[in-house]
Amino acid sequence: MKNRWETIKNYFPLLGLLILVVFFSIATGGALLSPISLQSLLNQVIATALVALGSVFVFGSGNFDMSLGACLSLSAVLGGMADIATGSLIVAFLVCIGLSLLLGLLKGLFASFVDVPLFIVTIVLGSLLSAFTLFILGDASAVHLKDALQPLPSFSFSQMSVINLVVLLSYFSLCLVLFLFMPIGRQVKILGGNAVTARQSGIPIKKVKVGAFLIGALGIGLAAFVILVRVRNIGASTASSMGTDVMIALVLGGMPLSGGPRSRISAGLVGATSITVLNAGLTMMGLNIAVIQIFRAVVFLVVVYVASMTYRTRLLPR
Amino acid sequence: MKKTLSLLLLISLLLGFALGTAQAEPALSEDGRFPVETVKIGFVNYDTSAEQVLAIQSYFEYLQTAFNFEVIWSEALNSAAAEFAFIEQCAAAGCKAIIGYYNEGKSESVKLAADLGMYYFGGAVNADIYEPEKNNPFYVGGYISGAEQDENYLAGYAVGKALVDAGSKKVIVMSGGKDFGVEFFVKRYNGIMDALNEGGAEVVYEVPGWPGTEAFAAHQTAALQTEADGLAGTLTCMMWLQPMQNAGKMGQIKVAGIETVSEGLVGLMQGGIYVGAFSEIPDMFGLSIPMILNAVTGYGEQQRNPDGSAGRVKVLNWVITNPEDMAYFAKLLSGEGDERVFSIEDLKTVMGAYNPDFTLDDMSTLYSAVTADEIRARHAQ
Repeated sequence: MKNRWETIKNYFPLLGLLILVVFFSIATGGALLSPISLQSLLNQVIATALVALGSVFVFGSGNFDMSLGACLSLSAVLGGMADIATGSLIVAFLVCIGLSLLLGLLKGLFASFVDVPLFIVTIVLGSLLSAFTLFILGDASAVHLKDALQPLPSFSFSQMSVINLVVLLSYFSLCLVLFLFMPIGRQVKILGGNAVTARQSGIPIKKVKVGAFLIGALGIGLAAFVILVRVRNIGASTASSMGTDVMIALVLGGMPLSGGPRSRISAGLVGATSITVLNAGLTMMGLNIAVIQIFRAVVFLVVVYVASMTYRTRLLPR
Repeated sequence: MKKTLSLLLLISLLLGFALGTAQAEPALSEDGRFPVETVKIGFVNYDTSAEQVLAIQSYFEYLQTAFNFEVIWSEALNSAAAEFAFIEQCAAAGCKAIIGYYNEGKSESVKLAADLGMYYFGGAVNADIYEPEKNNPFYVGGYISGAEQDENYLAGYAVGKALVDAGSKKVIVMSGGKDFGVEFFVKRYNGIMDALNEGGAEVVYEVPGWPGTEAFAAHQTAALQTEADGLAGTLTCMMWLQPMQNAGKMGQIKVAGIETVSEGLVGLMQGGIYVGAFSEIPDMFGLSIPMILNAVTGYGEQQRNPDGSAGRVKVLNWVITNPEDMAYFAKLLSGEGDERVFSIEDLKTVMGAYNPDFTLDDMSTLYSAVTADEIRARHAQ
């Protein structure tokens, strides 16, 4: 009986998402599930989902990354600049991914070799990267792809939805395989659960940490590129709330931010979708801004309470 | 026979008048508003607590008593990605149009709204937004300055001239973001300097940067130790009142700046502390409603330029140099009474459903007549 209850509790985040969808479908008179709305939800969920999926490896291994938004913003801005200089989306893609991986490697090395709490390192890194982004932007508030050397293909709302779906499914599949079927998935959870046990079990801790950050960085790079192609105007404020969004998404998805054995790859996707549905639903209801904020706070509290039932004592990072 | 013919003529005239009147009055919703079906509009916003936004909300509530539209207000958006998400959500919610009060996505925002079948209002003053999309049928346009010179230069010039006219000879100039290269601050600063030079006034201290910093406070203290008799601001000067009071200079230094019309300013002008203010008119953004309703109800072509490009309505702002005008404008914006800067009846004159012969020039004429006398004259008709 107890095991069955434990199994049921694992589905609480999904249940929370389902309740949100049903509630807002009724509240918006079915508009939430209209074709336009579904495409819109996909376009909105993509960036948070990509970063959150990769962050399952980072947070799952017991590391706390506060520089997600700044890394994404810098990658997108430099990708945009590369695009403007060369007129090539492929070059922009390589810059977004390459820079993001480089920053991921840097964070992984810090986590592995420098004995300083990583969340402090990433707070400082985030500030540094934001300042650097402002510096390279100079007098401009943003980079605009319309200034590119060659005209770039412009994607319609529907085309963008297809691109987003392909990118999201590809990265989700990769993360799923790595997390469930490759050693790194198990090692991440053991490391996040207890670093001493992980060491005594012979897990290559440094390699796992670097690997986790690189997988996370791939998600950030993909998110930077997708935002760049879709928005085409990238500034320092782009994705500025990404760090918070991802943490909320992971919690809503039923994963403790301290990582460990309760980490799950579905948390990134379910949590990101929950946030997106909540925000979209509230906007579509046309409520007063103050009411929206109160409503959102109450829903967050309820969903987090329900989702955290499986790890109540381990919500905060150690 | 003559009497019978006269009677018949009178009856036919009355009948014709009645029919004519009936045609000019469009079909209304059950609660007596135009149009019959509610038009949902998304409002892209970056600061939900800004005075101007609150004033626009109040004005829209007034307009909603006659026009059948609903507004979905965005939260405080700070990036193009957030703006796009809101535009998409509005489309899913059944919005017919977007008001771009904030636009970070430039022409891509217009394109996205159009792609989703929504009209877009705003950004006509910005070439990055207007030029690429001006021929997009879903882009209704917006407003631009009706002044012959740059609006920000004129704002600065008006501020400087108000001080000169009030007799100030030694002036503190608060230059805002001029030293950071912020274009509109540079223009306002140039306007102030030209007016002061023409009036023979000298600058005794220049205070750079924004309020709220230690550097600004230090400059402020130093500036108040000079023998200045005037203060010109490229932004609001309200943050100078307390320091002037503390320095015992209240009343000795006359003030003019870029301000938002308020009851507080009325008192300051009556007390002789403020001698001039340049102010944007929040109700100007109400232009979005007739333009969107025209587009939705089939009169969109009439408000476009002769070459078919999106309409750019010429508007002017307020230059206020006496307390009577300030009090009048503050009352208009407060919503007390029936009088507004642009009343519902004013708006009907530029809406095809009420005036099928309206033109884009009519819109410019209406939105350029903003002095106290012009508003009074319009409402007296």
